[in-house]
Amino acid sequence: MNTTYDADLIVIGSGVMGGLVASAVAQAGKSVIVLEAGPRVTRREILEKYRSSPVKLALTNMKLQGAGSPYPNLPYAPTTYGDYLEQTGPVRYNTNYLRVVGGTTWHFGSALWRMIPNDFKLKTLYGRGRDWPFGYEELEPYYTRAEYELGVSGVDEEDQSGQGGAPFPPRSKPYPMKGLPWSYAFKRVAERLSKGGYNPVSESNGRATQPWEGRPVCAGNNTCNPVCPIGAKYDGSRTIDKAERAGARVMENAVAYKIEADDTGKIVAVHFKRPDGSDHRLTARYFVVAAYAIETPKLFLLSTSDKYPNGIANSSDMVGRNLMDHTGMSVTMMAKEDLWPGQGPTELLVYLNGRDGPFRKDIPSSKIKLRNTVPTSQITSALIAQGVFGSKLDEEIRRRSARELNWATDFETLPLPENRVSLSKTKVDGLGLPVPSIYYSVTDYWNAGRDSILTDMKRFSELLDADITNIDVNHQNRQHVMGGMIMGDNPKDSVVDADCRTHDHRNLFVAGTPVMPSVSCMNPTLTGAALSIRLADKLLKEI
Amino acid sequence: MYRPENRPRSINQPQFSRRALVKGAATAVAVAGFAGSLPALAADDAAGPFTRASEFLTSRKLNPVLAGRYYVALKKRDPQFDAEVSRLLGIIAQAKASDVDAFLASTQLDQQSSSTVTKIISSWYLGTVGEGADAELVGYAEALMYEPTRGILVVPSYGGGPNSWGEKPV
Repeated sequence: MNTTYDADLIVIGSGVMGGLVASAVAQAGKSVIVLEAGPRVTRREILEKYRSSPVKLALTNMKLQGAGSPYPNLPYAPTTYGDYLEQTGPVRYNTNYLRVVGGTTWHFGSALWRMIPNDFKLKTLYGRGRDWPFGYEELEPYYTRAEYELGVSGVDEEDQSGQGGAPFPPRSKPYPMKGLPWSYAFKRVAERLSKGGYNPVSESNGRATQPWEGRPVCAGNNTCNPVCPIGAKYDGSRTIDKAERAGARVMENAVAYKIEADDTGKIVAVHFKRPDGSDHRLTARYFVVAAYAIETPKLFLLSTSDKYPNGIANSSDMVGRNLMDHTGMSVTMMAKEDLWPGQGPTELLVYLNGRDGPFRKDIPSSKIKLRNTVPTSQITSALIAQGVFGSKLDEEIRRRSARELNWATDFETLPLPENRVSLSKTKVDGLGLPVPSIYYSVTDYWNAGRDSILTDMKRFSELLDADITNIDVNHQNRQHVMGGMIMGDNPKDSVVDADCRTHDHRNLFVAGTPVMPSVSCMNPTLTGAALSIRLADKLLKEI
Repeated sequence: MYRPENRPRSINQPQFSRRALVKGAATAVAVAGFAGSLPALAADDAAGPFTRASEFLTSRKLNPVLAGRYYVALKKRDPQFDAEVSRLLGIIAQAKASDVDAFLASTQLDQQSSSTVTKIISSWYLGTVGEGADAELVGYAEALMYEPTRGILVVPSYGGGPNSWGEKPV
C-alpha cells in the first residue's frame, strides 16, 4: 500500500473558501497543495483593463454582461461572462464567477452577512425547503472568526432581522471594524421611509474603515465590482496569500478534472490538466473541493469510473441538484428632489422588514437594497439614444443622476432537485471537458415574493414622493451560487454531512456555499466562510 | 493618484488654457507622426472640421489630442465621415444659430446629418466609438458625461478618498 503522499491536503479552488481551509491547515504545519484552474492576476492589471475597456461592467447593468470583463478569458478556463454556461431551463442562471487565483470575491460587492437563527429551521418553522443539521448557535463562533479573518465592517447596534428592535442576531464579539459612513442619499431616503415603518439597516461588508492587515480605508471608488482599485475591500487574494505565506503551494493554471477513489472508497488522487492539455496526478491524505457551486458539482460528475458510474460522492444522485440563487427583481423610481445615489461604496443601505416571520410559509424571505453605483454611463447612453442633445443633455444627466433610485430585491429560493448543474452533452471547453449545463426555474413561492415586493415598492414610491419608471421582474440572477452539494444527515438525499464531509468518502470534503441546505435571502459569502473555518477545524483533528 | 474630479472646472467655460492647447496640438502631431499612418500636419488639419463641429455641438472648447483620436476612430469606421462632417458644417453655417440649442430648435435634421450629430456627441460624452464588439475606448475620465455631476459623483475607480461622502451635495 502506498504510504507516501504529495501532500497532507489538496484543496481544489483558491478563492475565499479554499484559501481559509488551506491557510488554517498550512499554519498548523501540514503540507498543502492548492489547485486553481485559472491564472494569477494582479490588481493593477485588472484595474487598467477596467479603465481602458469600452464596456464598464457592473452587475447593475445585466444587459452588458455578455460583452466582456476585465478578468481573463482563457480556452482552458473560459470566462462565465460569455456563453460558457449552457442554459436549459425556463429561467436563465447567468451567473459570473471568476476562475483566477483568489476567486470570485475579486469582483464581489462584499456584503458579509450572518444568517439568523430561524433561517436554519425553515422546514420546521415554515414547512418550506430543508432544515440545517445544526442551528445558528453552532455556527455563531465560526461567523465571528470569519468576520475577523475577512475583516468585516458593520454596525453592532442594529437589528438585522429588520424589525427595528434590539441588536440581532446574537454575536459573541463586536464587528472588527465600525460601519461605513452613510451618504446623503441613504440618510434622506431612510428618513422618508421610516415614516412608513421601514427600518433601515447598514449592510455589513468587507470594506475596511480602518487600516486592516495591509488594507487601506475605503475611499469611495465605487467599483467594488469589478475590482477595488486600492484593495480596501476584502477579496480572496488576501487569504490565499496568507496560505502561501504559511507554506501552502498554490498551483495556478491547473484544471482538476477527476477525483480518483480506490476500491475501499478512499479518495487517493486528483487528476488535472495543464493549459497544454497534459495530464497530471497528485496524491494526498485529504481532499477539499472549494470550487464554488457550479465547478464543484461539475468536477464530481466528471469523476466517473466503473465503481462510480454517476460520479464521485453521488450515491444519492444529489450531486449538482438543489442549485439556488437569490433570484430577484428591481424597481426604478424618479424622485422629485435631489438625492444623489452613487456617492460612496456601491451598496450599503438595505431593508429587511420582509426577512423573517410567519409569512415565510407563503412568501419568501426578502432583502431590498438601494443600488448605489455611479449611474452616469447608463443614464447618458439612454439619453443619447433618445436624441437628447445640447444643454438639455447636461441638465438631464444631472437631474436623472440626482433623482433616479433603483431598488434591487433578493429572494430566498428553495432547494429543488430539478434545479441542477449537469454536464453538457454537446459542448466542451478548450481542454475538451464538458461545460456545465444548468437547468433553473422558479415556483409560485417566488411569484408570491414578487407580488409582495411590488406592494412595498408602491408604498416606497408614495413615501419618497417618487414615480415608478421601470419594473423588472424578469428573474434577475444575483450571482449568489449556492447548493449543488447539499448538506444533510440522510445520505440518501444529501451529498455531505454536518461536517461538510461527503457521505460516501471519508477523506473528501466540500467547502463554501455549495453545501447550504437553505440559503435565506442574504449574500452567502460569510456563511460559506464560517462553514469553511469549521471544516478546517474538523480536518485538523484528523490529518 | 490622478483625480480628474478634483480639478476645478465649470461646465460651460473653456477648459484648456492656450498653453495647454498648444502643448496638446504638439502632442497630437507627435502621436500622429509616430503612428506613421498620415503626415502629421495633414492629420491635424483633417481633424479641424470635426473639431469645429464637435465644439459647436458640445458648447465646449475641446481637447485637441482627444479630438484627433476621436476623429481617427470615427473615420476608421466610416469612410464617408469627412463628407458627412463637411455637410453638417454647411447645415450649421446655413442655420446661423447662436448656439447648439438654437440650432437644434430651428433646424429639421435629415437622417444623415442627425446620424452624424449623434455619432459626434455620443463619442465625446461616452468616450467610446463603435458598437458592441467593435467598440473602442478613446477617453475615460475625460468623457464629457462626467462633467455635469463633477464634484458630486466620482468617475468610477477615481474615488474622492475616505469619508468623502455624507454631506448634502450642493
